[in-house]
Amino acid sequence: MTLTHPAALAGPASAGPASAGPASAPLLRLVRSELALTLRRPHTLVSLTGFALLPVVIGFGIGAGVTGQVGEPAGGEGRQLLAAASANGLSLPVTVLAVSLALLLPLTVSLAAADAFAGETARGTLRALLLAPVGRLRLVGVKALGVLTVTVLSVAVVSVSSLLAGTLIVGDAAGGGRLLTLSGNTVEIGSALGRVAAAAGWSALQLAAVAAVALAVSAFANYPHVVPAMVMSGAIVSDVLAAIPSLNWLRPWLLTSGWPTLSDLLRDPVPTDNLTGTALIALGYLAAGLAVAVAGMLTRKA
Amino acid sequence: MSLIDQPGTSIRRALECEQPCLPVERRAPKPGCDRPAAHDRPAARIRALRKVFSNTAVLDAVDLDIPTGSIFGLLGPNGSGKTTVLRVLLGLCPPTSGSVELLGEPIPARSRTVLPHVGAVLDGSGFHPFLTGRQNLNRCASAEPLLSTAHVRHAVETALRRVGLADWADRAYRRYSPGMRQRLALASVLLAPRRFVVLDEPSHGLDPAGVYAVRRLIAELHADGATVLVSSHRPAEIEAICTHLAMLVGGSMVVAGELASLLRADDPVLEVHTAAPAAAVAALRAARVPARLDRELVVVELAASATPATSAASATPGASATSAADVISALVRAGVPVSGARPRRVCLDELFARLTEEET
Repeated sequence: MTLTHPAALAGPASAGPASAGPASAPLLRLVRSELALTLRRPHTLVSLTGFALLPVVIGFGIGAGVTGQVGEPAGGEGRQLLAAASANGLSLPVTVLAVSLALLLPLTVSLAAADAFAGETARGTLRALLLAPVGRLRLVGVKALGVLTVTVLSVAVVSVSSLLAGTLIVGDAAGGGRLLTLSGNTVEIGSALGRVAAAAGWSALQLAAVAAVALAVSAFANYPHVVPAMVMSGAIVSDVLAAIPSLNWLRPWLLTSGWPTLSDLLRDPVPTDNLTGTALIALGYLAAGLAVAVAGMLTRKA
Repeated sequence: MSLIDQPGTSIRRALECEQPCLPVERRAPKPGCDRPAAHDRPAARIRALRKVFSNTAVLDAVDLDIPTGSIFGLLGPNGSGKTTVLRVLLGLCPPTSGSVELLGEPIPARSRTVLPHVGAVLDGSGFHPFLTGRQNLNRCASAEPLLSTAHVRHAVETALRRVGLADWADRAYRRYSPGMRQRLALASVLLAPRRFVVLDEPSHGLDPAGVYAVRRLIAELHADGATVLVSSHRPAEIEAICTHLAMLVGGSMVVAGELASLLRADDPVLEVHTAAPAAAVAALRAARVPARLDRELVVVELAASATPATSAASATPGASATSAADVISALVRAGVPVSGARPRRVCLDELFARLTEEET
């Protein structure tokens, strides 16, 4: 048995000081393994399938609404967006992103973040990584990449699927592949697609901020269900705080209160002030969340 | 009468005179690589370890030396702190106070350089239920620093074969039986060359075939040069596989040392099998040999200085220096039919039961 071990060729065998040999596995190999794990997780696959189907359902619903009655279009932001989508398929991606941003997308990314540390702890798999060993800082980086992949994939699937559903099911009332904006005029297909891409990128950034906060919770939690519960509670509390008039000063600093800004991308010209402001706030949450996640992981007992 | 009924005799003395983990005769890790004892650093060394969880001392004043090349059994009842010792030793949680060294390096300060050479299966370790056995092992392998990427595949297949899971490798982990789960955990230890292996209750929940497979793997790891630390709450398990042992009761180390010397009684007791036990006791008492009847056995307390080997040459029988040969010749002279005689050994089960009983 002494020399039959395959790895005896790769690393030092039982002789020599403990410091001999590499102290860590190649980063790329770790990332690949993390992505394989993430994309094989059943609930990730269910979510992505759901995000592929959601725009189709909404598209059919709106398509049916066009021939029937559309309802009162002046009923607020959401209805305004739905009304816009019913008139023009190219605005469906922004509409579906705005609808999903309310609950489905944050839930999906916080579930992914829950799996990252809390889920692996509950299953006893985090210990194996720490014993391999994978450095804790490196582990946060690898895990963050995995969660970011879920975030980007979810937004991409929603965007592409709703773009297809919008053009194929809803069609465009404006005609000639043009996007009818909320401002009343139409823009060319190139600009329309650019707006969809911008909406996807902006949403992905907002969700990455949610994911970073969820990752921070996950780094301290021992059970995965704590993470989506905390993130959803946080979102509700921040909505409540935003609704209190005496706390108006707080409003710009809350992550969720910036989310209705997404509909700005359907105006012409696009008012960019609020979009960049909310993007910067999201970057702040992203950095803070990652920093807390690192702190949690470095002090975590396994 | 069993030893348990006699407080303060051979077991106590065996414990008191045994230095913690400094065995007199040590089994060399490999034949032909004996080194001077002064340079022979223990594979692991724990000094004055104390671990407090929320105001409760789980471990207190724990000293432990694990000789290089030993199969070391950490024995203790449930909740005695075995897993905590292992976690601290592996740098998974910091000690409240005390010092820990693994393969000559301080822990947790130098965990990163030591752990690649260490394989461990801890209680509560697990795998991803939706991945197959092979996918799970691939994930473990990809995190192993000593495994080059080109060898990952081969290492995984070899490990699966060695634990007998090759035919079940493509089954999802959630459909594995407890025995298969344990085998997969052991396979993760086999992925890279190890100098130190920690197995927490490796036979827990296994059928006899599984227990045998675990013992065979431990022997293989040991033959490959690894020092193996096995924890168990079952003395028989430790007695069957280990060269050294330490016993942990209520967070403190109560006994440690080489298994053979711990089990060797200071006052040897000879058990004589005979068809006429009453006549045998009478004959021995007539020859001034202290003998008593224990059910169907004649039990003779031999003096401490006289072991069967040394007293075979001594021809002078006496109350202070009785040997097994003296006893048997006295019986033969008296015409008592002796069908067998053997020295009684301390059984680890008894030692364990006694020490854990005292604690509670």
